[in-house]
Amino acid sequence: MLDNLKLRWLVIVCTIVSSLYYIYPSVDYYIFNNLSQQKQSLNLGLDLRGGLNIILELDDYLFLQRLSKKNLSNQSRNKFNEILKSAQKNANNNNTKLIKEVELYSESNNIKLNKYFSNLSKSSDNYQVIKEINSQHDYAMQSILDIMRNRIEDHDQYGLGEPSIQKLGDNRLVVELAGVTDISKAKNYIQRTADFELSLVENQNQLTDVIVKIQGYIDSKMDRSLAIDSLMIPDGGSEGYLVNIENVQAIKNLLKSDEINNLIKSNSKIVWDNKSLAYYNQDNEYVEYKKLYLVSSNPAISGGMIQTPKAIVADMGNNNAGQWVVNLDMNKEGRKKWSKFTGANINRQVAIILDDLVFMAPFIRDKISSGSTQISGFESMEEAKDIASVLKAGELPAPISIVQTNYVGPSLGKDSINDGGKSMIIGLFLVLIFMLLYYKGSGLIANLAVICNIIIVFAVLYTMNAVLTLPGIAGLLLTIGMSVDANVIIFERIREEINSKTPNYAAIKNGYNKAFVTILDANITTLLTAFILSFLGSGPIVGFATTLSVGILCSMFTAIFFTKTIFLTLFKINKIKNLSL
Amino acid sequence: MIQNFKFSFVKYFKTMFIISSAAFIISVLSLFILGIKSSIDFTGGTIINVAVDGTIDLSNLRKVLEENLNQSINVVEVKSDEESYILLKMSYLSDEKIINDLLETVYGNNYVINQIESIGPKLGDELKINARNAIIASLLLIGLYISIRFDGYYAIGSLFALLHDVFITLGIFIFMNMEISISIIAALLTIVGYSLNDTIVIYDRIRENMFLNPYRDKKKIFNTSLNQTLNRTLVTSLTTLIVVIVLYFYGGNVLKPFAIALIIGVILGTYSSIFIASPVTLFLEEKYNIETEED
Repeated sequence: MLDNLKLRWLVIVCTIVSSLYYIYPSVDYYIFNNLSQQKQSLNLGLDLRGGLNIILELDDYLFLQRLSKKNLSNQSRNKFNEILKSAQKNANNNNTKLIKEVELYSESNNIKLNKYFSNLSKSSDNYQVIKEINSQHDYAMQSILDIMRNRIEDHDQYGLGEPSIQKLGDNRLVVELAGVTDISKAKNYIQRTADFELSLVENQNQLTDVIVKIQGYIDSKMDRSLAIDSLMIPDGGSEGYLVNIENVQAIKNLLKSDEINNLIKSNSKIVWDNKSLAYYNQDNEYVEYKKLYLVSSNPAISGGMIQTPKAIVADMGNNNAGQWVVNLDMNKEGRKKWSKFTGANINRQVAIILDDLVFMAPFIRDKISSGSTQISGFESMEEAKDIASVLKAGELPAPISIVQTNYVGPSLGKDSINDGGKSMIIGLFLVLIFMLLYYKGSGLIANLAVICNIIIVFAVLYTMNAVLTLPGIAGLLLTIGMSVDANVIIFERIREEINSKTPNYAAIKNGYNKAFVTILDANITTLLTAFILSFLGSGPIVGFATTLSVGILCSMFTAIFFTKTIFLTLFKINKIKNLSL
Repeated sequence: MIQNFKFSFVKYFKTMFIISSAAFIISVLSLFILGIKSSIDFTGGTIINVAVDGTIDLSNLRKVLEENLNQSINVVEVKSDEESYILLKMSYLSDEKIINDLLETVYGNNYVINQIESIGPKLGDELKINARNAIIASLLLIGLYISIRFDGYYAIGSLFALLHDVFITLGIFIFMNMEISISIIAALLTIVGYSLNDTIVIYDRIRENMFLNPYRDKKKIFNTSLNQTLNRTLVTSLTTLIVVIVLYFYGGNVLKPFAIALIIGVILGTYSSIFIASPVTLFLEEKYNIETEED
């Protein structure tokens, strides 16, 4: 065993050094206020930072109502509402999903769903219809996610950290805006319906004219000259211009001013692509660009005219056979406008715009008079599905509602940080003192283990990208109290061994061996409950469960491996005879 | 300071069991008769925490709010040494703008909203079901784990202890007229984990001693095992109690109810592993498990 000591120390030193490496930026940022380390620091939850956390829900009931066939007879419409109501009741009672309950209800009452959703599927098999409803539901959800993502990314004007948005289950989203203080404004901003449009992309030379005009204005009116014509490069493959990502913000700011906007003709507007592109330039350097377009400000198609967009692999016989395409249909009004528009603009680009961002600008190849349209040129399934979900926003304004709001003001957040920090330090201090008084020398070793444990836990939390919340701090504190348990079990065992006249060295080895199973058993139960806790709710409770389980897991390493190594080393160096317990 | 205990636990098993049973029954009865006071986590609702600079005319505020919102609103002022604020509690509001406007008419610019917690009724119902499922799932999982690692009698003993801890903690909350929120449920589950942790250490020792001395009287084995683990039981409970008490005093208002639940739970969990889990297992072992005696 002693031969392994070097290896043991290597493991310990590596663990502690890498942990310190990971938590150094957080310490630098939170304690020494070095702002440049913010990105490398452990994130604090909104309850500590202050900010707004809301949960949005896609209203499945309204969604199904709007998804169903538009021209149902009054009798069928009533019947359909009846089905929805009964299914909703069952869903509430059983805590299940509405769509699932609609399926079950129709099965048990012999209802053919096809009657209400013939716009989705021609199949008379309920299973097929439900499958189609589910995929439309997924598009709707993805479309809300896209819309929200655009909005909150655009909203990052507070400089208090990244806004975040996450899917929660299959019909909810959590939006977190750190540092927001105007709650009503933020809520209105998030809840407003999306602006969806398909608009003609103006020719590149028109955009060139606009840029020349703007440049002329800058040269004559502004003190600081900005050569935007050299920052913008005409794109070879489309009607747009490319801007190096470094200059995007400067140009965006410029375009915000009213004087500049007046230079652009009133029937057109400049819009940016939602993604950035990367190319190798002449010097063979990898450069990221953002594309911008000049588009007509009279949209050809707006929200509500598109129907059932779907990403599929094109059939045999189709021009794009075997490739991912997006198929969509138009309603009556849309069909008329679309036919006229596509007929007049063959071989020009049409931009798919959501909340003033271009998601795609495909070329019009033919006049489309039936409304049924195919978009091709996708490199992957994900790309096609993304566009289908963007088009979904053009089909129905997603019926979303806010089901939960949590707001913490900046001063309360600061108070909580103070409270959490204070209780951490006091709790830790008291436990360390107690252990030292009770177990003396061995207590010192256990205390070292506790301190190492805290360092490792913080490092693990950082690498997990976890968020530290106030309940999370409580979980950490609880870990401190509970993690000395492993050492207590070991020390008591060793003490018993010594009492029964076992030599010290053997006593230590026996103590560790006998205690190991007990410690394992005892910790697994705590982990089990922490694991269940993490399913219980969102946010704070999950924070508590995370720190508690990470803490317990790491403490097994520090309390068993780490302390044993110290004991064994002390024996090797000093051959200590008198074990202080 | 450290000593080898020779305490006769078995002698007190019966008395303690009767006292605990009484406390358990009272808790369960009060649960059914008085009912749990649920927080908005489960009922849905909106709570707004406002700090006001200057005079706080609560009755005027209540009047203005109730007239404009058409519902009865619970308005309380919370005062402590460090801070004072008003809590407004009402049924679910999906947009708090109206409250903001009304506060402005009453206090002008001399107020700050510290915190808003708002949970829709549907979400509340869901959380209720989730909380119930989580508790049931954890009890089942733990029962299963103990049955595998030990045997059925141990599992029954530990489940008795867990039910004892959870229900009496709930009972104390009912008597203290405190709300059960999602964080209290989290505390209850933590207690379950903690109490079990304690029980397992004792069970482990009992099992070891039974294996070493198969012919010895079971009562004696249980008593010896409890004494052997007593030092550890006390030290661990003490260090854990230290941190939860610190949490109560320094963790701020948000964590206070959570800390109270943990303090009660740690004490009950320690007690129950000695005076509930062990006696129940001993009783079952003596009554049904005659195998070892024949060996």
